[in-house]
Amino acid sequence: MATSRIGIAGIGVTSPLGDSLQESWERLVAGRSAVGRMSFDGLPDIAAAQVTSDVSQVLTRLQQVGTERVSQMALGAVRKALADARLSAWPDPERVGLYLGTGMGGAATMDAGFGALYGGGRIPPLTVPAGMVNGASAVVAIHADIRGPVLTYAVACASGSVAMAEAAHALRRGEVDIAICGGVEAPLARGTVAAWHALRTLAPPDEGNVSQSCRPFAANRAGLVLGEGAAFFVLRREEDLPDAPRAWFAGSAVRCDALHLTNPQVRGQVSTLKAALAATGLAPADIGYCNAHGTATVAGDPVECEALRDVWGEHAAALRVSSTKAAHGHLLGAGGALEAALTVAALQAGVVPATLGVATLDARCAGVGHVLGEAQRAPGLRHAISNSFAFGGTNAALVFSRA
Amino acid sequence: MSTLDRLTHLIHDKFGVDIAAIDADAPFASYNLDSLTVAELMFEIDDAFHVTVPDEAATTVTTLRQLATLIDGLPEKA
Repeated sequence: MATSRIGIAGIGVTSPLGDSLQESWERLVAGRSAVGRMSFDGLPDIAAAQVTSDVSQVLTRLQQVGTERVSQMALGAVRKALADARLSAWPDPERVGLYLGTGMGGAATMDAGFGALYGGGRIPPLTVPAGMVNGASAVVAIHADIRGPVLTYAVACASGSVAMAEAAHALRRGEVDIAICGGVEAPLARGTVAAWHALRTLAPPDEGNVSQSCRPFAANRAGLVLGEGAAFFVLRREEDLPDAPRAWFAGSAVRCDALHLTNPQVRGQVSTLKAALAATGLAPADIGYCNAHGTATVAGDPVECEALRDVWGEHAAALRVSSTKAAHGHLLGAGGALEAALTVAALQAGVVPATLGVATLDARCAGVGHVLGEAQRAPGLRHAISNSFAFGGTNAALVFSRA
Repeated sequence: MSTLDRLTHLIHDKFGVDIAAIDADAPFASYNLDSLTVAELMFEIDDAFHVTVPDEAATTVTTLRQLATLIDGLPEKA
């Protein structure tokens, strides 16, 4: 088992950029951002990236009882991933596992329930099952008949990436034959947004062009832009793949800064990146693209660029880097999974997406091969890395290779 | 409209259950209302009928007709 390569048999996406990986990818490389303006009572308007389709349609109204937006988005994206992998049933459901990352689970349900209670009303009876952090995992397991390990990873902004790393390990260990993994987040509820706003991390809507409110690596970046959505993968061992995979899941690493609740640190990121490369046997020069964590916070972006310069050394300038969050926002626990999906799309297309909205690069972010303005053709692209660096200090890096 | 009719329509509107499938004398589960759905239904009834359905009803009431009888016996909230 230990020597099996792990293939990506299917990917399903529900993102602010579109209702499939293809649609999201096309909009991304066309340079069109999904960031818009959103209003909540008692808060200044925010910039946010919303999923615009009706995600509740994956369930009948009766099935929707005890579910909420986060579970509906997860199930929708999982079904798309299974269809992409041409899987509709399995002989042994106990050999199928679900590894789901979400930072905040059913935050909107908790938000609404507590809001009703504090306002003198009653808290709805299904607040706990709909709001619990593993609610989405349970709903997916029920409707997709997944009876092996069904696990939920709450690792803030690295949740989806950590879930994927763990899924690949479970396949390598032989614990499951099919690993469904990814992330989901639905944080655009009043109380949750207010809490993020209170932390002073959110970018205000750009008055000139709201779609460019999120500007990773730019000198005038102003903070992160929240997004919502889901991205899921079907992973299988090479010998179990019925067809050529979309790409290979080459390896991963998870490490913790263990220094600060929110401030990212070079030390932990460097150790994560080095460990991810070591896990794959690849050298820095082998990696042609990095989908950066790049949240567009003042503190975060220079730290990530310093870590990349440190690990890539003389090859740093040749490493193409972009943050696709400029286009789809920060999906928190789903961010790593969506960015992994877009990284796989980049490998498949031989095209590297750009960081949108950067007029002037922050000098502290220089020294790597930023892709700015327009997507670039990269026909020789063979290996790519996707970074997720979370609040709480947990860092994850995933490496993918062209099939 | 009788309480039973109102309940039937509430279940149809809230959960999308076909009215023809709702048998007032059959257990809730016979038309796919599980315990969580019944809890949600009781919560809705409080608002729709301006009553307070006692907590124990979620376990003691098993059919829609029993529920209608219970509601008709409850005092309406001011």
